[in-house]
Amino acid sequence: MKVKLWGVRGSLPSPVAPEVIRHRLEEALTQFGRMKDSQVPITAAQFVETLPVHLAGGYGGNTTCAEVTTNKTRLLLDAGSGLRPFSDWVMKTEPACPEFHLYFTHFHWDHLIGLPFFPPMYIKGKTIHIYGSHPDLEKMLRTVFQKPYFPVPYEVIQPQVKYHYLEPYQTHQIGDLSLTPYMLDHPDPCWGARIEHGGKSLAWAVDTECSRLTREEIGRDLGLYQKADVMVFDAQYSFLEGLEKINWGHSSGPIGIDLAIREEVKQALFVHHDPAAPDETVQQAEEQTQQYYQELLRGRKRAGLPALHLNWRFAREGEVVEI
Amino acid sequence: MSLSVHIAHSGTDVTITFNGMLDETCQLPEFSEPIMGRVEIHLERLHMINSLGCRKWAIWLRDKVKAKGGITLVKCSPVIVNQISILEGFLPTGANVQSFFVPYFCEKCSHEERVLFREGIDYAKGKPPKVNDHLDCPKCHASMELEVVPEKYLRYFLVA
Repeated sequence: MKVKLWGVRGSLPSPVAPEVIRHRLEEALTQFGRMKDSQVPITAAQFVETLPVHLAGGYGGNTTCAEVTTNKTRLLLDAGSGLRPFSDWVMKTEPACPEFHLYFTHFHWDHLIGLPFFPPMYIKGKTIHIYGSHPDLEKMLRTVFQKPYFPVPYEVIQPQVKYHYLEPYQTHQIGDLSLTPYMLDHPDPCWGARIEHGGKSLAWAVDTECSRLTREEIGRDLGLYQKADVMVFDAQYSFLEGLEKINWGHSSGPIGIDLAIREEVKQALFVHHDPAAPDETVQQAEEQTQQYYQELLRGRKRAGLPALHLNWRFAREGEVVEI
Repeated sequence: MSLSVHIAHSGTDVTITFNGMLDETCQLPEFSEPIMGRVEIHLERLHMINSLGCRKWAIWLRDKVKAKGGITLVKCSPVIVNQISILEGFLPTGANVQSFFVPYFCEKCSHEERVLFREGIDYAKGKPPKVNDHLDCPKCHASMELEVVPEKYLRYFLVA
């Protein structure tokens, strides 16, 4: 199973303004000039690796969308603006692809905004399977394809779209992928998904505050995380912001670290980066999480608890993870 | 390693002593009425804390501990000092640190020693504490190493 993250920004697409790009370019070139003067032989690619995240491309500005693939099945998770670059890619590489599977965790705009710009929806003969655990799936989509919000009427896409209501906590087959919806701590509500294939598992927990902290409070939704090979988790806020924005439905890196360790997750990818945070601020949140993680390891050692290791990072748009 | 909490009343003041590990499973005390005096929280024996416990702690201090005389943290253990310095928001606005420990380690005999720093005695309020890099080991008299990086460990005191 392979996962590609086409969008990792939260809440709102966040393109980088031209003046910011220009400023970053100047900064990078200045650093390159200094390095060149020092006579250290280095290629352009090697030099870019030495740059901080914001100068080396940033985290990305498209909102939530991921592609999960096996040899037989492709499943898209959420339809944020990241669906657009996926569309561009798939229409170039596989224009004849007859069907697509798309799971919605919920219908907040940042998870939906790419859908009207998904060309296969308008091509007769293609089938778009829409999955979700909200009973009124079709009603949600009708709202999007409705004047004056969007010029193309729902009737144009209707023949191509098939809806599949997924009973929460039941395991459903989508091709050779198994998908089980679990509730996240996010309004309206939001259904994360555990996706399994060939004995490997992905916990898709992109919008969650983790306001239920204990295992007892999380209850049967614990199944989403337990022993997952990869957990994709909401780290929109710094720890402080998470305390200030109670019930906003988003979490922070340190919370995800502890949840992952407790539930024996092997790898954690943090996403849903704050659209109000420039890349430098997201990087600071990643550094704070690193400090927290290192102190956690030291604390365990001091307390005589067994050593542990979690592979984790703040994800960047376009990242591919083999599970 | 569970958490035990001891509460002592002295006039209008309340002293809360934590012992053990603060995580998401711990039960924090409820106060039915606002505390008219000061709240002192003693943290010398708090050995372990995680972010889920930090979240619970920070929300508890902010929303559940209404102390007219203010909240003071006393004898903060190294795990607490680390969280104060790493996780902005761990210490609520208005609360202050009265004293804290700095850890040292003896490579020769593996002895661990904590040195208490008290505001107004060992350092002045608003001025960063001066911490020695070494300390004589009280057991083997070898030179003990400071176990923390002062710039990181004392970040709260440097910017407060």
